[in-house]
Amino acid sequence: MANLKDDTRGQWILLSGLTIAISLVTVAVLLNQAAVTGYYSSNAALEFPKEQIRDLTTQTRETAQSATLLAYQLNQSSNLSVPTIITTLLENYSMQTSILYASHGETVDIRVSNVSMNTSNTTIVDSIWMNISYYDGNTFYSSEPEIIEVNA
Amino acid sequence: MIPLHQDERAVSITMGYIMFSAIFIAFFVIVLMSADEILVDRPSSVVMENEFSDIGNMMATTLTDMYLIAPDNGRIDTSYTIPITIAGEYYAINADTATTDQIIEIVSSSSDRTVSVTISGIASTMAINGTALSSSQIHRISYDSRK
Repeated sequence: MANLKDDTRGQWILLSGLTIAISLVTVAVLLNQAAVTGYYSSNAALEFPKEQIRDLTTQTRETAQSATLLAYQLNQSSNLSVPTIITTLLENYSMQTSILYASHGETVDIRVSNVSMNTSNTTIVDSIWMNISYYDGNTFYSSEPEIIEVNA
Repeated sequence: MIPLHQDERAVSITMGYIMFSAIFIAFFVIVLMSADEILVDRPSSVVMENEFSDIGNMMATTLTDMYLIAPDNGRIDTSYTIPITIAGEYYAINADTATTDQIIEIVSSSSDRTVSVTISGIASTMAINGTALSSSQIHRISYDSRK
């Protein structure tokens, strides 16, 4: 057997090894570039919390509607006025929603700013004005006031 | 006369070597001269085109999302991140013509490359303006119903 230095057989193995090494490096470089491009192109649009904010306002609107109906019923057997009961119910809703959103790392603040009564029939609530604000570190949303018609 | 395939006159190893060397050197010089165009310019222009339209689409998507949830009385503030350079060039996101042309332009500051993205007509109901330069990474979009 020829010694290590003089043994010149195995040219094809050497050549194929070199080819594979170069193509691996090329593929690695291409993949790196693809990963960077993918990160930058889509992050911000995906991060925008459209659904969270939409859910928040929709849920607040629904809750205000049902709180009003519930307040009319509770008013029959209580000394408290309808606006007071609505405010109490919505404060409860606000507290629970804040806790739910806080578990996703989002700050939510919902307050009743005004309960507006019907001018001709002052026992009926026309609309509820609510201050909604949302913040997740990137996006701040506030609707002050969100005017919710509850006179069905 | 010697048969053609056995006639080895006029064949010189040295001459062949020089001729082949010359051909290879010429080939190498041509490749070297166009290497910049093939390996750098064309890929970077493709990358720029793609990334510019990516950023334009990102802006258009975010603006449309904001438009969809915009409150009647209130405001929205959101931040977004963009790369400082694309293919080694600084650029600007320009929404100044958005209200009239319904487009956002991404303009490179060193070459004259421009990519325009449409914003699906929302600018006619919600005025959009502003310019963002890529020299800082974080930018904000604000909406205020009172302004």
